[in-house]
Amino acid sequence: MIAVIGLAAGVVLGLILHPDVPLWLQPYLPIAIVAALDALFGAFRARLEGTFDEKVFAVSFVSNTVIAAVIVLLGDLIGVGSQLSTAVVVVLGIRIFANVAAIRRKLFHA
Amino acid sequence: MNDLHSAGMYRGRPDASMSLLDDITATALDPAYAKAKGSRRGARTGLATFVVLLVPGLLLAIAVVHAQRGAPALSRQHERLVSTIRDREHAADQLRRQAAALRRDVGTLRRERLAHSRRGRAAERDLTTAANGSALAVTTGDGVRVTVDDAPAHGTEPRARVYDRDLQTLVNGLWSAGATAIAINGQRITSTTAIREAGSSILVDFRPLSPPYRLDAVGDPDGIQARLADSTAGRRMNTLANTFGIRYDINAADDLRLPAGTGGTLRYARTAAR
Repeated sequence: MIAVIGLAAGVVLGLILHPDVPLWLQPYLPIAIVAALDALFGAFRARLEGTFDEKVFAVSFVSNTVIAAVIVLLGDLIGVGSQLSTAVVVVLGIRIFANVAAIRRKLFHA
Repeated sequence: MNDLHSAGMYRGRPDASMSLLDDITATALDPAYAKAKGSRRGARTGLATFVVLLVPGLLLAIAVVHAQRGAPALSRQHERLVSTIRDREHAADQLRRQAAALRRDVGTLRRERLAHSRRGRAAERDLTTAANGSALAVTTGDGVRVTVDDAPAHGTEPRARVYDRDLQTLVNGLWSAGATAIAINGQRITSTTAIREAGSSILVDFRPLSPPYRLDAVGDPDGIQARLADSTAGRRMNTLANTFGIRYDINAADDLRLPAGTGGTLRYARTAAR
């Protein structure tokens, strides 16, 4: 499907271009990845349930990533950076698990 | 979350304020997807989908590349740390040798000075007795050499290895069998020497030793061997040797030379009354 091809094209593009992550952005890369994964799994689940909408995905992806990075940044400023990033990872992890469980149910029982 | 509240799902529930996990899992699939269901379809949306999925792919690739690039730097750091540790260990050994040489010089000078007076000679005798008793002097003599080693093919059998408690028991057994001085692999056992284990190596006086462990004990060779064989320690080591194949050899040894122990920290001093 178009979506998978787009994702694969993005991965290939990233591997070819080899962009360098600026130093100030590097600490937020892991949390951004987890947030992106959460949005991706949500999109996959929506696709399986027939409700995928790319506008919703774009908004959820961007807002997830930005909000996660902002929370970690605020935490670093206050001094609780590692705790806040743990909290963000925990919540995103729970959501990822919930979505993956629903995906599993759809794929193997429907 | 507002949708769920207005749907009356949580109205009046006693645990309404503890529904955090419920909320997280319930909204795992963004409710906006359901709301936007069936809006537009067509070629334009196909292109939009393609572009929108490009960015996450890019992000994933960037993260993986970034992680891969960081790995060689980490291993280089690790190697640098290892080589620093080795250099420092080398330097520490050299300093130890220097300290031993200086101690010998101090001892010689002290003997020369104290030999000038009767009181000095008496003090020198006291010092010698104390040094021998506290294992701070080199001790020579005939005695016994006990060699202990892991079983040759110990594999995963935990008891086929030599542990710190084996060496501890053996040292205690040698003391009670009449040894007057004991050293393990060249490390003199004083009254404050600890035989511990860290990870998989045995540390004697905080220095790691590797098998085979050679215990030299100065004393009456036959007497020590006989008493050790009869003692609990000797029987224990024999059982281990017979059951698990641990190497346990005792031989009489002539002209043993046990190095001086470390740890004679000067704490109190008083000038001699004239």
